[in-house]
Amino acid sequence: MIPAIGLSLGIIIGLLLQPAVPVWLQPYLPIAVIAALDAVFGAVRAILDGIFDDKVFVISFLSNVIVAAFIVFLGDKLGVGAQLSTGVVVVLGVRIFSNVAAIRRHLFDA
Amino acid sequence: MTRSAPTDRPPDASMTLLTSMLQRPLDPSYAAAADRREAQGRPRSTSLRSPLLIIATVLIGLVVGVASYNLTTANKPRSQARAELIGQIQDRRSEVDAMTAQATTLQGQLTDLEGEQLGNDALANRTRELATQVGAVPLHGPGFTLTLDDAPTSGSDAAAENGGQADQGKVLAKDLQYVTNALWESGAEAVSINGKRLTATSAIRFAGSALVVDYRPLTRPYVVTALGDPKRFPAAFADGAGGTYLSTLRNTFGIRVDTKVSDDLTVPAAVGLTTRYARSGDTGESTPSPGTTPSPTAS
Repeated sequence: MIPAIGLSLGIIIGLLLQPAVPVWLQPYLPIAVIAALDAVFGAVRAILDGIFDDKVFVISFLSNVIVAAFIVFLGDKLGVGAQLSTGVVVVLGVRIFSNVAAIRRHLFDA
Repeated sequence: MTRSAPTDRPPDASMTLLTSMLQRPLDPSYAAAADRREAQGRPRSTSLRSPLLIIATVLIGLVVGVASYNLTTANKPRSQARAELIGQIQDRRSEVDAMTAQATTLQGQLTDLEGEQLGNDALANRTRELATQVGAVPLHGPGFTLTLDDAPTSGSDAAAENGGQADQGKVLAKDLQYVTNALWESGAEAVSINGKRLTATSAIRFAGSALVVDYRPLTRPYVVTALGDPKRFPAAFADGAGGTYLSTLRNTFGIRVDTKVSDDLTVPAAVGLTTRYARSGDTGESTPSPGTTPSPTAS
């Protein structure tokens, strides 16, 4: 419950403060969101599996964001930014889907 | 997994990347950390109340919130600028309309005054005659109106997105040019399109996807008003090249064409009938004589 409250608090702060993100950072925002979602769903699955660990969660979130951003940055420099962004989204998307499937099995036995 | 593989090699060996991605999406470090904790005699799962976790969740929420705000409002300045530009265009257009109306009124007054000043001699008659012919005065008389409109399907946005296909059913500048030329050919004495009088210097052309007559964009439907001999002119047009062209447009491209013969139609005076560089040379005077140009430059 407390993590959910923290999550909503963060979203509310972000929406209320409306900080202007510099233009060079904007291509990384969707990637960061996908990486964050992946970490969150992984954490929910770990909680349901009974093996949650806060340090692993924080590190997996940070490393997801950093690696995804680095891949996109590298792709931009190499001229294949869009393709590598797609690759990152596909990989993280598959992980999110199967994590959600595992969560569904836990919650609904289906 | 009751089916046994005939060989040692698993059947999905060629898809190991996909299987590992689909079957172990969870970070193995969760399981590793749980095993480690269990070995140390602590519970497998940590508490959900650790400050580190709360900070991380707030951070994730912040990322999501900031991203959703920034990504949804990215188009805001663009749409603002667009609305502003549209407003400017409309302002200017209504300004032009007002000034056109003013110019028409002034031109009418000028023609009246010229007539008063010149009296009724041969020169005045010649002025009136020329003014009628070049389009400086509004005219009325028998004639007919041609209403051209895009094919019913091409007007919608869906068709416009199809690119080239959308042009199939649209009235083009070429069509209006052909039709007006055919009108002159079959004996039209005055022609206007959507209330714009065509003169010797009028141009019908395309600017982007808009039809432009005398530098003013027109909107559909295009109403062509032509004055001429009621007995001969409509029949001559219908039997001539113009009628053939219109029926081709109608049958092949679905363009809507509507012809209406009328006893009394009005064609407005042309606006801005000024020559800036060309001068009349028959008298050798430096200023053009009032008889040769109905423009206000002489007064």
